[in-house]
Amino acid sequence: MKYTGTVVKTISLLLVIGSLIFYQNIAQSRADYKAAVRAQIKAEEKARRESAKKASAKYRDGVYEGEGFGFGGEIMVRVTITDGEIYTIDAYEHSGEDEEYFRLALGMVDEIIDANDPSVDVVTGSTFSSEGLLEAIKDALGKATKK
Amino acid sequence: MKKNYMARTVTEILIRLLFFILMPAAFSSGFLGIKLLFTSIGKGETLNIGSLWILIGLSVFTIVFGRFFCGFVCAFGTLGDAVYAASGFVQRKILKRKKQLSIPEKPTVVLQKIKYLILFVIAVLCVFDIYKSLSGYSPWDVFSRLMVFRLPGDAYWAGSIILLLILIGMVFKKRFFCQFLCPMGALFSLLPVLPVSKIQRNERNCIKGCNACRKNCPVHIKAGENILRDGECIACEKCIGVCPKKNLTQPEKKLIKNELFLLVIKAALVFVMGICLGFCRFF
Repeated sequence: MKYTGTVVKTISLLLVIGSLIFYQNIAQSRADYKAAVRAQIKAEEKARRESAKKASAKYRDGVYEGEGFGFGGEIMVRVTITDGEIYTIDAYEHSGEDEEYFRLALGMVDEIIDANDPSVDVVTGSTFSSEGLLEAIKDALGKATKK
Repeated sequence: MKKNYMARTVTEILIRLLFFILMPAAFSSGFLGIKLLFTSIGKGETLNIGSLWILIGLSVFTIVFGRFFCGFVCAFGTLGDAVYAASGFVQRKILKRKKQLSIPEKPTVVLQKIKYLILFVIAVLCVFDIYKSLSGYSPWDVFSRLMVFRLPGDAYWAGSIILLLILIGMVFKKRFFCQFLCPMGALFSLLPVLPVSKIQRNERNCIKGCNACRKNCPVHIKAGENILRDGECIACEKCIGVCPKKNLTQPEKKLIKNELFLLVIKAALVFVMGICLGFCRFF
């Protein structure tokens, strides 16, 4: 055959180009995946850093006590700050309050912990107790706030 | 006939000289593509097409026109031609030898395989990312430094010695580096060439027992035979120029009758490509 050499080389060249394209596709999808993972990790890191920054700018770690005046007497709370964030709020003295109203008012506590901020609406129908509780929490957080 | 031969020789020398001055680093720019390709594969990264354009351009040109790049453009090839010609002059005129000392055909054909091994080894070194720490061994880098009139520096002592050995080799064999050692040439010789650009011999018109074309082939190709080894053809067109009966042609010559004009057209195409892809000096 006159063109055997040319045919053989053409076929091998096409095979090489084909495998390079195949390789490129795999490498590309792998690179895309890696980039996506990296972007996600970066975003998470950024979010964490930001929240850490935000939190650390706000509160110092520790246990702080605060008091407020509720319906029938003093309400006392103990707020624990961990990693710059509000971790627990324990209302240990609320003897002057009506149990049912006070239980309603305690619904704010989870909200405050989630938001890491005491600026929540008072519970309607339990205004005195929740205002007293909020006052106590704000008092405690005021001691925790970085100057 | 004599006049024709002179015109061809002068044209060839001018083309080679021009490219020697304008594109002394074309071969290393093209080969850089190969190195980057294998380095990327070794790291599992995507191939950066932007860094491969010179390689792709030269490869496509070689597929269409044969290894014109090797024959006329590559500065290392021209260097080999010059050294071998100078060696011939010294041997004949000063040493009074009748025939220039040269490596005979049989070992040549075997030695021609070395360049594939070199290409393979460089590819492997790139895949394992070892190559970049060995750049001091590259005779090409040393040559590139010299071409821009800079001394290669202490880090390149090994490359300098290798370049010196290659220059000595060039004294004893026409196109010593091109046919035995050049990894870029190894790649080009593995590329298919369009049949229209292949040199063919019209044997019916041959003078009996002439074989001037075969005797003058620097890479020992038998004109008229179609063999896998014809990838060794560096398209130097020595056979075309030397044939007393003008029996060697390329089918592409049917389009352009004047063979010297055809040479100039190919040179112009490489020149334009060099400017477009940025491996042409001064432009």
